[in-house]
Amino acid sequence: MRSDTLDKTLKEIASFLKEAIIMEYVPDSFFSRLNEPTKLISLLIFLVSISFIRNLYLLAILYGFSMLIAYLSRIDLALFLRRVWFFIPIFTLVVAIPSLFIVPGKLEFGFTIEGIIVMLRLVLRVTASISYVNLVLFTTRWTKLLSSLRYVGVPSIFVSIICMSYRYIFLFLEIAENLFLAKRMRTLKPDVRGERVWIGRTVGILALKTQQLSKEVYQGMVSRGFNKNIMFINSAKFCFSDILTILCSIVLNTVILYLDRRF
Amino acid sequence: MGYNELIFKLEDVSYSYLNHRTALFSINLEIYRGESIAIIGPNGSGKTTLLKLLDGLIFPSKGSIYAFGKKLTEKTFDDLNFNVFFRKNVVLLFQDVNAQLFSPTVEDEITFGLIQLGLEERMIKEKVQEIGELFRISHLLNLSPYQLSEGEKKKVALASLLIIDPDVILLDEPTNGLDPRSVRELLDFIVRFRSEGKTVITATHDLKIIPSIADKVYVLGENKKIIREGTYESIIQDQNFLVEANLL
Amino acid sequence: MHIPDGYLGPQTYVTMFGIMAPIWIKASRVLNRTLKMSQVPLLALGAAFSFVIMMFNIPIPGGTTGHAVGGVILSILIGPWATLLVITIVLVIQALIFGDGGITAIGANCFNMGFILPFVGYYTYRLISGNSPLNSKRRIIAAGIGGYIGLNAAALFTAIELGLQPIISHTDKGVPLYSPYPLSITVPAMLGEHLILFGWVEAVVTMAAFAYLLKTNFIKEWEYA
Repeated sequence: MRSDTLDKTLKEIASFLKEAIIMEYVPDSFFSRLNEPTKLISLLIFLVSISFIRNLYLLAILYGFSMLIAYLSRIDLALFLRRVWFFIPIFTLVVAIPSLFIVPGKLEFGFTIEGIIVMLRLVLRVTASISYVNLVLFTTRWTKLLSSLRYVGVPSIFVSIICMSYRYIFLFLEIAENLFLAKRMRTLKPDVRGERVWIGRTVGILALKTQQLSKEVYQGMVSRGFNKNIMFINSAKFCFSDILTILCSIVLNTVILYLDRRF
Repeated sequence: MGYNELIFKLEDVSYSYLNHRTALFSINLEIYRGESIAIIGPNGSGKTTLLKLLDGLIFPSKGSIYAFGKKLTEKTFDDLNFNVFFRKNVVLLFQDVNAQLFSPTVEDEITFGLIQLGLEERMIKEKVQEIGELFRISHLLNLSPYQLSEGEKKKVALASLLIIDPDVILLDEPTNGLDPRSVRELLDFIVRFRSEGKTVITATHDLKIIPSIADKVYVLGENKKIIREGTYESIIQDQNFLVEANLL
Repeated sequence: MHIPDGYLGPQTYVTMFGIMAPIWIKASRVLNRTLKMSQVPLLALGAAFSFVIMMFNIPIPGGTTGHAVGGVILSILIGPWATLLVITIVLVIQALIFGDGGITAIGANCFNMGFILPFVGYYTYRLISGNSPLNSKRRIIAAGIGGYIGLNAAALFTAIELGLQPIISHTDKGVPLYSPYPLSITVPAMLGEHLILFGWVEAVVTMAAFAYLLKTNFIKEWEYA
């Protein structure tokens, strides 16, 4: 008999790596051709706007709009929906169900109308937000998305560290995967306590590797003339379509927020 | 080819980690421009340490090391001009290329050195294209390092070093973990550097590749000292010595 | 413990960014002064390390699994300020690329998991270990208690932020606009599962990792290298 938790971790690592590679493929569309800072800035505009909106219809419209753009961007919609809904909106739905009964209001069918509204509002807001995040993820190379953080006020040294970190996540996942595979091969019967300790030791092994490799990487950087201005990033060029997109995002969300406050 | 310009000079150099674990002991060495040198020795004999000393990444615990007539110390590298000059002229291919491929994409990796040297964006684009074709890695430019095979990683690392056109190339176990075709490709590159008059210093325990990479051989022993120097032929024929040095 | 987008109202998430801003600035200053540029790769790889260990499933009695954050073991190794930056990097990558935790909630999540967890955990560890020798049992236990208390403190703050939502943002009739549950529900719910389950996971993993690093003589060398 095998340990389920080891299998679970291995499965998650494998699907993580697979997904990262699948998502490297970006179908060509108007939206994918926009530069990355534009997409990131527009995303933030939408997220902030969603966080202010109270009207359920407007939230639904905004969610629908993200689906429309996803469709126009020739994204695989099944994959898109799966990635959006699994797992946070579903989790939110489950967590919010009890609120049906505790939110004060007029009782009908055993729960209150206000309770339903509270639940729907939370789920819609969460789902719409995640939908926009995924819209950007499906239409952008992730490494470029991370480097565009510099356009929203993150200091460039941190942007470089974030980019570097993203690259080494994959190396550490490979190392971890090998350690877990070796452990699974040697595990004859599950031993919950022993497994926790083993994971702790694995954490220790990875910490060791982190420290050794950090030193090597630093030497690698010094050896190549690293002079305190580490920059991976070419500056992005803003075309007409980029500026137009940002303007449209602002106008659209201002209108929606206005409608939200009016009704 | 004239071997007259002295590039590296090591005088009684020792190095120890954490002040007690000796990694190199009393090394004396002179390396001239245009020489191709192989440093061979079993694992743990200090090959990597020696290359890192030559690359100015670590500094002797005892003795002195001179490069281009200057003594290498941490202080020497605080001089920005010397730092740029040295880093532009001396490069090291790490044994663990993962330590060297720290950028998010291959293109970022290749341009890193050029950006550090402060080249213009247009020049950088041209150079990337040039080196991409030379190393046949143009199709990899948008990928992340984790998507590359070991052979491709080595090629990308080498390309990112050579794009700044250095004079001295240090290679640490360059053929480790490569399949035969990648080994041949790599050796072709080394042969090319040699014909261009570059100084090539390779640490390896793969005796087969020595004829294509070096005309002079230094052997590091398990006692962390240089126990022999000579031509490839003179050393390879001494089977007793090779067995004793844990190389065969 | 990652708060997604949509749970916190603008008043809260903006406030949390406001609280984090000086903390982030302070952390960068501390690192600049004491640790030099060689810490660039350490922060980057530390974040990769932290990201990966958060993916490990750890068995919990009763058949479910949990995850460890590892913030305390990291702060013992590289100090709480560096840990703060490392966890911030992880949370940014998780929010932006993997939809784990909201983008608007980055400030709040960084406060809970990047600031409260390592600082509370680290100083608990320091307090309990006192002047005991590096390789003593007391230190290992101190690390475990640090992990346990650090994680629970983070859970408590998460619960408070969520529980404040109905008070801060509601309609005229008192209907909540964001996370609907009051403090009287969020605090017991969050603390309950962390005190009973996840806290122990964090403690065991922290202790095992710490003991392993001591045995390999690594912590000593890390400090003096």
